[in-house]
Amino acid sequence: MERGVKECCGLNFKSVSFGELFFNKTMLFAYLLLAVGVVGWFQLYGLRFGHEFVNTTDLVNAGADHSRMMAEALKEQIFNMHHIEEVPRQEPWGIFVAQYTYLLYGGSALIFLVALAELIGLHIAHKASAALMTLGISLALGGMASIASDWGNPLNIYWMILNPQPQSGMWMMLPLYSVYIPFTFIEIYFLMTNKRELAKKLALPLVVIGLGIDIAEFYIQGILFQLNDARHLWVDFPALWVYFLVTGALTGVAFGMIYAGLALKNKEWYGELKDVLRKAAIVLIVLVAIYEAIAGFGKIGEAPFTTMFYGYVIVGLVLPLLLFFAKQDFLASVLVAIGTFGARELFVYGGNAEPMTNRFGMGPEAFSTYNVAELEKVIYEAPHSMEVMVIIACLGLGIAIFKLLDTLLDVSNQPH
Amino acid sequence: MANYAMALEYQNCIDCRACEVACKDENGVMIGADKQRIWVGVVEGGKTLADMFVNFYPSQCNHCIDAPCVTVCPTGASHFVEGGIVKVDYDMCIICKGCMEACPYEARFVDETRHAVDKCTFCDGRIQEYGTTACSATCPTKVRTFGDIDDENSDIRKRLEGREFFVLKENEDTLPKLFYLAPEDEQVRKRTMGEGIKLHTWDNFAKQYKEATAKRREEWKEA
Repeated sequence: MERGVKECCGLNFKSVSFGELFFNKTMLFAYLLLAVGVVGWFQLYGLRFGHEFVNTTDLVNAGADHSRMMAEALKEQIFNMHHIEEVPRQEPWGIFVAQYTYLLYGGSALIFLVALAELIGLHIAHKASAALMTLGISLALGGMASIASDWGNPLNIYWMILNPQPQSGMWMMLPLYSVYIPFTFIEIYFLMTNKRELAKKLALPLVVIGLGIDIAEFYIQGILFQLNDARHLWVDFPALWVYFLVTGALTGVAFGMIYAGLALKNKEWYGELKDVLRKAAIVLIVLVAIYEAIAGFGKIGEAPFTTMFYGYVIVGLVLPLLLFFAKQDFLASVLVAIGTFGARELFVYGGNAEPMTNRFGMGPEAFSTYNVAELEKVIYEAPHSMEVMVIIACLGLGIAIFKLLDTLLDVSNQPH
Repeated sequence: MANYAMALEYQNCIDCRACEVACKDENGVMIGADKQRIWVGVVEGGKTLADMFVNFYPSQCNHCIDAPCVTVCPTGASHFVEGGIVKVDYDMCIICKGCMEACPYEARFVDETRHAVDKCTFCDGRIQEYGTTACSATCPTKVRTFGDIDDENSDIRKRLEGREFFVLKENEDTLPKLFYLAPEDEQVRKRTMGEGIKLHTWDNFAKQYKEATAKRREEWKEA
């Protein structure tokens, strides 16, 4: 055993100082992102719980004694203070959900791909699997932090346990992630444990079960969106869970490539890993492009989604494909990471366009037809700055979780 | 057990919005133009002075028999109560906003004073005492007729049996319980309904509603 390493429960923990653990360059970068988020979270929770919202009962009561309620109500009415409304009615799910789907699907799909590579016995998988799986679960946890910020009243979540609603896609996530997250850590444990004999015996069943759980996860995520019959874009997407898996895998591979470019450059197997990731990225870009061509967002065909759609196609698919062929892997992966976030934004906001465009009116009120062009301003509102700050922090949280695990367990240097 | 619904003579609406005010006053709804349990939609049209028009579309939660908002709720906060009214238990709501996404009628909003999603309740407390909702009671042109569609002698049944009507977004299969009475005047009908709206009579519509209600009735909780 190396010096400075302590074994516990079959894992080798590095002995690191407090400063090495919490104040290395990566952690400082993560803190910077988290600090941005603190401002956002402060604003968000200040708005939810610190703001004195007024209803008509308050107003009637306030009328008698000219209390502050009256002033608040008048202010809200006179100045039409939209920013005090945390959730625009026309966009119940916004950038938090876009970020959640982005990081969670990206992370989960990366775990899925690593498990698949292990199953087919890909040589490089044995070297990089612990690191990439840890990266995957860190991204997933960052995504979950984003959605946790979106809940207006997280404390009431215990009702999900007390009053189960198995018909609800959202409720299904409770048992799903109660299994998924611990299981992924078990997979990572057996990739890194010193108990090699046991790990070898369990490797195949673990990988197979892991793949099954990953597919179940994407299937349930598909149901979550497809239960919303009124949102035609989500419902009409064929095999939505496959779309999530393919696009998530592209995001995951991009993050894997970025991580490899930053942290694994000195490894002798870096070139081999890069080749595999590049090939995977090219195949995935082609698959996503086919999906988008057949069933994609182009069918909305109206501003502002046309701009968002082609922006995502160019930045997330076309340019990276050219760059991957030119072996500019790092830049290509950064563009994929940016572009696929655009895809998630487009998916969430595009889905919201229906039926919010036709709350009133003649004809469409009965038929749910798209009439986006006339109501562009109604159906798209740029995310509030506090929301943007929170999602930046969620990425920072994912980086911090990964770095802490890497510093303690040295996941990047697992000998196999 | 009653099965509450509403018929809307929407051609009578004059956009006075007394219904909105009455609703807010009766139910203590949050201040703000977008924090409404009920609303009046406005569509203007026509190209020349000769054919210009303004249509008003009063609307609210449709209290669907197969309400998608109830299906997607992860905590059971959205639920049915007696009378087939869809309600939200504020104490159980986590504001995941799944119900807002699922609702085809944009009938829900976040009430920050309650820290929960809010919506029309058909004035379920008031109807026990007065037999009708605040919006129905206050309307000066009697747009809304509220009542029990299972009761053959109710005003709403009589209106529906005597007129053609349509429902909103029928293709969503939610079986909504707001029935829009088709204007009898051909010009008004053409001007307000657009093309292709499917009209129904109570005789051809009642069967599927009765069957769907019978299936769902066991989910109705005590109010």
